[in-house]
Amino acid sequence: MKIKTGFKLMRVGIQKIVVAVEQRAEEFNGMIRLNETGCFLWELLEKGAQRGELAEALVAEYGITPESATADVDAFFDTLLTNGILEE
Amino acid sequence: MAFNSNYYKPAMVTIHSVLCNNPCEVVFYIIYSSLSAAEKERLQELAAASGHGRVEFLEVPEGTFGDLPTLSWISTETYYRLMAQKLLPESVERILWLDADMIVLQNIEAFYHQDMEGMLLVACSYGKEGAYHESYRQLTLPADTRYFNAGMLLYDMKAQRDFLPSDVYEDYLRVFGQRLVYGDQDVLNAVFYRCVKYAELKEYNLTTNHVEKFSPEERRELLKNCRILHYNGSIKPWSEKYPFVWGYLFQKYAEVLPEYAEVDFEELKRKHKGARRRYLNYKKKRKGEERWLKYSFVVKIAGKTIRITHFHPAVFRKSRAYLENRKDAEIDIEVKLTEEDIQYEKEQYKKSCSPEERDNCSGLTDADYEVAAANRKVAEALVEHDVLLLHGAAISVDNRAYLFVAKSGTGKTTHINLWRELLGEKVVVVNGDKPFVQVDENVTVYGSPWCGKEDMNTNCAVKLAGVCLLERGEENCIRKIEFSEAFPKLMSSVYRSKDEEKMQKIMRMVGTLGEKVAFYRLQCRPEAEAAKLAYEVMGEEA
Repeated sequence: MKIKTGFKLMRVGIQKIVVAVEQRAEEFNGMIRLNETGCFLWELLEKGAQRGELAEALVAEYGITPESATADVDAFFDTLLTNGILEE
Repeated sequence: MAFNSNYYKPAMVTIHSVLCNNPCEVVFYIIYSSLSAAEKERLQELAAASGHGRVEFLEVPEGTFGDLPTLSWISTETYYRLMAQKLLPESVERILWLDADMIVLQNIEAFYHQDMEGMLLVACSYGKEGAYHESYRQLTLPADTRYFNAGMLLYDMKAQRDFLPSDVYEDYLRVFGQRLVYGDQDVLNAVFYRCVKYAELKEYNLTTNHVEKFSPEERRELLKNCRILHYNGSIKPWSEKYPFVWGYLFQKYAEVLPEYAEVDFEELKRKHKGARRRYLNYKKKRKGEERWLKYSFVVKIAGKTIRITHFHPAVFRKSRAYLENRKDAEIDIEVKLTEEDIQYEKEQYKKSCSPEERDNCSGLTDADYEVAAANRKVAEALVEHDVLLLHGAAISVDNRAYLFVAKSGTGKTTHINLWRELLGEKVVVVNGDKPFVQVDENVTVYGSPWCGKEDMNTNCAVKLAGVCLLERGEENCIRKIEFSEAFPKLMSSVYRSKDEEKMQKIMRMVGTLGEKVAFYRLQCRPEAEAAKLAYEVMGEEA
């Protein structure tokens, strides 16, 4: 799964949000706030990472348990899927 | 007829043309508020000299209808004709109204004495049946109305006295006065739309800009049949800039009058030729490019000089308090509104309402959508000048501004009204709905013409002291909060660009705003106590 075109991560200070630009803004006018972990995962996805690789990357980056990493990734995907941000 | 000194000269030509072509006895009733004794005397002389005419003057107080909207080339006198019923003597049974920019080219006695078939008035319409006119919805007229031009009207005065209450216009103006686009013409259409007998416009109210649509051969045919010619539009044949055909017909009647003795008509003809050449070139260049005539004006908003080119007069009317009158002002921003912008605004509006609302679309007109489009485009352009558009209510007290942010319907307007009750004159509403906020070394709030349905705004610039997230609560309670707590609400209240770079810039501006002003969260009830609390806490801080 990958991020649909037009969804962009923007930051100001410690604030990080995803908004829609260009044509995408016509269908999505909300915003999604990301925390540090979410931001890390977003950037991996943008680079073309697959869902399966994400939990592993989290473990490596933050030294958390695989179980909690998988839970984080699931929650992250839930948010993106409910908001229609991902496509096959 | 109705005119003042400024239209005295062309009106002389109208009167002269009537008398030349109609050997019967003619009485001219002239409604006016300012004509000099000399001008009145000349009008009488002119009528008397024909041997079959005379003039009666009907005076109205100066300033009558002065608060009603007009277009740049239509003056307030146009409304005077609404007083006819009150001013004309009872003995007058029928009357022909002529604007002072018309000339009568042939005999119209048969027209005057025609059988009106039980209708109250005879007029000409440029609208085909069922064709849209922008005034319809504005004035809540049914869609099958045939909007008529009010330059020439044949009135059955007797029937009007019998059937129309004498204050029908006053009643109408009280409700619709500020919605008028084409002045008294809108009013007359609204009052008479079911009692009009339509006359052939090519004969009895041929407008010169309609004539432009015909070929030279067709125009010759038109001229043969035309009895009343109307120099409508903003440029008249007595101006050197007149670019349309048939200016010479006006000259024909004008040049024998002493009022025009000083005019060199040969010179005027040359000027008209030049103007026509330029006009035709311009038309050729723009062919197919634009459907409507466009207007433009210059305003100063958020410290920037902005030229707005638009279709509907409403866009201009809305912005009056912000006009930039310096002729040499350098333009910072060009905003050109297109039909696509109006369509886009319509779609956005539809998206934002519920299905039930969508069905009746709450009576918004193209003019309303264009006003909204102007706001959107100005906001988009101002991003590059470090200016944000924020959805919220901004007020100023003692030269310090406070911005209340909340979802529509929470009670922003109610709350700022409480401040006004509490502090009276000290409170200035900068913008009740969508203020502009400049974010550089300082954060400054600006008034702007676009401000929601309550229409509260002031052309001013005030330093922003605090931003307050407003919520309804059981108790009144205010506390200072961190920027990070205010951030989501702020982001959902800010105007967003679809352009990625501009969106980045908007984010940065919101960040800077976070460093420079204080943030509060207010939970409140709609009562004076809430305003008092908010003022005490926010006013003390800065």
